[in-house]
Amino acid sequence: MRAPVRTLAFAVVLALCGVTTALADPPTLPWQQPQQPTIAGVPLPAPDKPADGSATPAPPAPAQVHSTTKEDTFFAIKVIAGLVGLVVLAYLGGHRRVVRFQEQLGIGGVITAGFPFVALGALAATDTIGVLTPSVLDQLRPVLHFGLGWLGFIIGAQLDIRVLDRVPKGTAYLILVEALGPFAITAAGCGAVMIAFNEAGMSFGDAALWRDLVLLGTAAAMTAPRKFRGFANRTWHEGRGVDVLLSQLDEIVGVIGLVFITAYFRDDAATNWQLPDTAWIFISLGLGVAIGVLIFAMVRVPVSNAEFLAVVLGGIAFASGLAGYLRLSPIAICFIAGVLVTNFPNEQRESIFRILHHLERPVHLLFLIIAGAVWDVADWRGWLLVPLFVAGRIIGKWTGVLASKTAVGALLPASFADQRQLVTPLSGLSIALVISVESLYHDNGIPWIVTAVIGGSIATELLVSRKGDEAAVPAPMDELERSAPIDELDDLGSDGVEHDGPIYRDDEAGPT
Amino acid sequence: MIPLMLLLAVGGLMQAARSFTADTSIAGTELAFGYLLLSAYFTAKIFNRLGFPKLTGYLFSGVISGPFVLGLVTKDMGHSLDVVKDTATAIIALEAGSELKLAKIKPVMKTLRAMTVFAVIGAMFAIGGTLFLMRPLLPGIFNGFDTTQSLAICGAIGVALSAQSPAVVMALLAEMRAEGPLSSVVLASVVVADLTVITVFSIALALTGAVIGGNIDVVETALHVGWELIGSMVFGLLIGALMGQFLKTVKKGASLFGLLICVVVAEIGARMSLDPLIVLLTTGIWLRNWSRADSSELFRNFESAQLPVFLVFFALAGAKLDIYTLWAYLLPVGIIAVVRAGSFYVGAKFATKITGAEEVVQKYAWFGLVPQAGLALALALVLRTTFAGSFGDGAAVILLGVVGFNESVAPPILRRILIKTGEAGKKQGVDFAAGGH
Repeated sequence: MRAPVRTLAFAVVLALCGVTTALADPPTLPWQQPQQPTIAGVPLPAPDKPADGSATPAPPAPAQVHSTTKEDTFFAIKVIAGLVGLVVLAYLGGHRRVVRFQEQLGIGGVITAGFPFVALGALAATDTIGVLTPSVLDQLRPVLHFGLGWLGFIIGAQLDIRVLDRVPKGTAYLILVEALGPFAITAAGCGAVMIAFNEAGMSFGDAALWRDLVLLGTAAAMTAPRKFRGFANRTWHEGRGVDVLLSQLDEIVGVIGLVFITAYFRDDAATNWQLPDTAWIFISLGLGVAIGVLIFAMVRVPVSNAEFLAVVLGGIAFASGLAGYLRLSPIAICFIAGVLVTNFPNEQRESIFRILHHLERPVHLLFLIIAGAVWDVADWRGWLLVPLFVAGRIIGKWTGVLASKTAVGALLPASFADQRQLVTPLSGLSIALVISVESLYHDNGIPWIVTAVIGGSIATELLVSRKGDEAAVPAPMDELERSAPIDELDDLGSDGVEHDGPIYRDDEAGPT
Repeated sequence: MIPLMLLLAVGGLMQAARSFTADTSIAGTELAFGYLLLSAYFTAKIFNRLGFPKLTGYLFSGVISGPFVLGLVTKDMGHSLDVVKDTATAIIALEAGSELKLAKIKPVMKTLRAMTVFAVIGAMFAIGGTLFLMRPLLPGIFNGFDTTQSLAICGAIGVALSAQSPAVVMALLAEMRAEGPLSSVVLASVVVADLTVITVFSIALALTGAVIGGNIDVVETALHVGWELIGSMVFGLLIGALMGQFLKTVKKGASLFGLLICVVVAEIGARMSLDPLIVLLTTGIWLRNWSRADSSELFRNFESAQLPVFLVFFALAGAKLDIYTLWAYLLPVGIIAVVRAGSFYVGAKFATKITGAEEVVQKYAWFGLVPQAGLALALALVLRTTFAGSFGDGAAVILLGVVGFNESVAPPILRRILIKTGEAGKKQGVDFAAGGH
């Protein structure tokens, strides 16, 4: 079986873990009338009393082994069929031909960023369609955690730390100010509005407000390359645009933000570990490193593709599970693990990447569907933040670009500072970041943030598309002429053969 | 050495995480999935080096990690992974069906029929009779029931105890890459026996309920049994035709399509009172024997992708094994396990002899009926929940004990038999368990 199918199979199975559990306790509908339970199709008799009138207590009414009602069955079939439909759509959405068709229509940017799948999730969660109901969604959390872990791992795995040795002097400053600008301005602007319009009595002394501001700022700070091609196509190497490199480095900011949020905004009252908040930063780092070393050692054991698949899937599921269980972010933990696994000398890197690449698109799209389902579109307060979020990013970016050009512009090669764009797409990780935090906290502020980031992301993508139509910016090529070649891990499979199944990387032609 | 160290590391991390909180509702499912997958994989590696089948390693890993030993995987976590079990059963059924090449089985059809009658149905009577005689040893089951009721109870438990395990047999045949007359007869006989057990159990359960509860609707029972069997077969044929059409026309993505079919049938089938096992068994038989589509590629691809699901499936089966109960009921469990194996031995020997089966089949085919796992566990659960507060709990204890005993003892012996007969390693192709190419 081709790897995408294997890996997607795993996603389906994990998804249905949740669904089955959800269906075990479907919502009780007012018109539901219990029917006689059956076992293997046989109606169970209802024993009244022992036939011989002995002292033996009468067996209680049979447990409802298959105690289904017609509505239950219909509900189950609808949910399962709906989910299967979503899986198929996610698969088709990543198909090479579909992506090419989108490109021809000129809507590739918005589509490949996955927003139709967010909309699909939002639709599936409506009362009318009722596929992704709150109980189903609640039970789909394992998929969400796994998906977040997968994305974290894939992002981390593509960070070739040898690149950091070769970036020009001043790059760190540029990244810092270009991240800090949008972070500060977005957080300040949105924070003021949240205080002004809040209905839950939020104040500046409220830890949840600060968490939300850090989250918004972090989400705003991250940028994506001008054309988002999915998470599995981010490894920067000579010949690719600088925006790819800078966005990859930007994402480290997101991971740091997540580690910070999950360490300092915790509710551990009901848990057995009572630790100072800062200790959780070290736990996050330590767990990521431990998992990374473990996966690094584990991938050396398998003797076949099937075993290799089992170990990689198991490793990431285990890492995501550990992170979620400890109320940490699967993205951050798996990111650290991913960095370690692929940056250690490792003969299995190509095999790991092959598996990661193949599942990336379906996992990403399924994750977007769930993101859409948990998104409360009707919450007007979140929409209020959208223009501020978008404007805050642009102004912040402008400030950052200006500052970096003034301070380090002379040090940097062309395109590092002087060709920076003010309207840059929001990183796909931003939505993952917000959904990751949403799965950990359930207070009033979170729906605002979800709407602000998803809405802001869509608005930004539309702006970028418009801007791209008006004036195509020539993509800068390799600016690190004298640097040594590095492995082109993301060129796996670029053999010129048209492969079946989802497309995971489609810009072999060069920078975009 | 490395698998052992990795196993300890994974176990250590799991133990550390579980000490954080007892609440498994957040992230417990994926944690259990990842942990069981890895621990089963590395335990199997260790067991394999010691000469045991990998399957035993999967099961052992589940037992040790499960709620009855280390408690790393709780009952709730196991419950949340039930869909893995259902899907694995569906995949096994599809593959088992695809292994049944009727042209090859036709010559041994007489043997299969005879084995079903003398070994499987014979075992039901033998086990039921033994239970009836052991009533004084099992007060938790028979106290307060008169002779007629006790007979009905013995019948229901006897039928459930005679269940086989196509999953274990399939997994072992795949792991050993076994092919030959013995492998064919063993696989076909467990599949046919399973169908027989499912049918008879449905009837026995209704009768037992009627005898204890005092009423029975014969017509409705017959209709339901008929729907389950015939309906499942018809659905299986329809799905087979659908898959065949897909293979002929769409071709690409057939494995994903097949997997989705398995998931949907596993989850929806039971809700429609269909038996997913029968549905997909029929589908597999159709695709292999009558469909014009070439399904060999589909099944070959399927095999290589199922390892993660099977690792978790068997580890979960192990996790559900209550070793304390097994210990407490060791004597009756031991007696019943011996009687069960003995009746298979006598029945199968007789059946294979009178039908003139090959010598290797005459000698060893009986043992293929001994392993137990998924179906027997499911039937134990059905008895326990159906007759909770009555004999259900006691019956489940005995059933789980016997299943646990056979689950632990049978795979290594069957493995040795496959090696001894020279059928191991004869099959070409991908092996999900050994992971060969």
